[in-house]
Amino acid sequence: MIHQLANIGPAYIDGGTGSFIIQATIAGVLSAAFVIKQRWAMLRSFISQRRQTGRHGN
Amino acid sequence: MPALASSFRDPSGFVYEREGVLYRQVNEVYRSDYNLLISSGLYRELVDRGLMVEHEEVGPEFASSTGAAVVLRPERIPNISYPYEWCFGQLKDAALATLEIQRQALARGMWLKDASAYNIQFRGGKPLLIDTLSLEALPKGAPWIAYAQFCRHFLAPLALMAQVDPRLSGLLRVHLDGIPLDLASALLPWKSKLQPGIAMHIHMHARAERTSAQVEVSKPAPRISAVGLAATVDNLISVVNALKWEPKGTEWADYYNETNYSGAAMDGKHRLVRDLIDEISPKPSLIWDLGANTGAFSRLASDTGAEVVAWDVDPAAVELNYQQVKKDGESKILPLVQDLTNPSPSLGWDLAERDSFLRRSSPDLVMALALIHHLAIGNNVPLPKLSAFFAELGEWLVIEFVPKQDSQTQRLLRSRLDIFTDYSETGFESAFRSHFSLVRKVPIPETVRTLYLFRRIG
Repeated sequence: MIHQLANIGPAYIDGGTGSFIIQATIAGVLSAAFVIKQRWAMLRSFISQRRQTGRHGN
Repeated sequence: MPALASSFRDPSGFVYEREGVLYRQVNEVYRSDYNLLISSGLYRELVDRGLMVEHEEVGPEFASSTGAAVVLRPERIPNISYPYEWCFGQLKDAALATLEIQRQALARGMWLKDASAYNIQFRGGKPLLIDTLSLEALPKGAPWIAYAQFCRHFLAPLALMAQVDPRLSGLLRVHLDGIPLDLASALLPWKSKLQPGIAMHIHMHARAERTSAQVEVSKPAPRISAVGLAATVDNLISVVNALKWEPKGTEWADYYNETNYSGAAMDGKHRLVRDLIDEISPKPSLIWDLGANTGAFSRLASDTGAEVVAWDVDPAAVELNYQQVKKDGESKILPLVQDLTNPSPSLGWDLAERDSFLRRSSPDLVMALALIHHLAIGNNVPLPKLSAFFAELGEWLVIEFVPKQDSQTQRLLRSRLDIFTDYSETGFESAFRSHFSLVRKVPIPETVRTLYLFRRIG
């Protein structure tokens, strides 16, 4: 049976209300740290690329 | 053509077989998701990385019923296995493959609408998604619909195997939709509540499920941003990666050291087994190695070019075998956990969703080396019943008879009455000749054991 659960869209498995609530809480807690982790990875990759470019330039 | 017995839950489509070829019908309701899967480049990316089964589109004349938007002919996976037959490492790799697929999907505006461990199979030693229709367009702001399923199918059994006992994967055989989180939470040690990942995804998750009954039914699901979804998947990857289990002492880890085999005898046995396999014509393409332990003879069998399924009752031996498969990139060996005294039954709806051990595939050759004494004496199975069992499995049989004088058989008889009056070479041959013809019999040098090559009658 296809459910139309608010913003979930068509779904054929039961995601579980409790699961949605805990997932929203977990996502809220983890999001800030995840963004910092992503930015830090981007910064490190940018610096390493600059260093490599510098070395090749010399 | 009727759908396969396991393919009925998802209205997006189904799998069926026609003249021995596997097809997947994509129904009209899934057409836009299928188009996005292809146009976004996600399908190609996952196939190229070996994370998803490849298919080719075929004409509408191959459709099974009306309502087909597209018909696919997917690559067939040679040996189907189920999560309750995987060792810890296999379940962990399957979990990580699922999460990587979800990560890649999120980056392309899609997600996994289900995260069933049964959607993963092992091909060439690596896990891949076999359900093409599992990926759909990401509904904006929605929490991951398959989050709880992922936790039940992967995280809970992995945590239980790592932190309690690897044999708890057997719970997946009882709970086909994954281990209920309240059960996992009750079985896990208290210290797991101090591990943030397990505390959140299992203990708090189980509590939230318990209390959710009081939530108003009409209340919409909470919204989660794309960053929130990506952060959850990223965290699940870390939590799964942190779960580790290494076999310490295994039932059979020291088996080869404890047998009465000298180095020369073991070399001799290797040569003899290889000779017997080489005698089989046509060359076997699928071999089942029963009681494979860590896979020494499975490797020898796979060297002949055959696919080998290496079954063993001990999860630690299967783990060691799987780690070897990964380390050496052995694509033709599939190690699996199986208790032959109580093999995997047919399970699920109408007892037809998951095939029993006997209905899985049909090996050309069955190898049963250093096994018969465990079944006949360790489990009291009479020799005629063993003969009938092996005859049901495959046409050819390489079997080692381990007589009562052998130290390993003596060990089994040490603390019990010897009621096995028929257990002798004569009794064995007489029992097996009722289903097989004897092709060759060779004593293993420096031992009291004998190797037999049998061919099924009829």
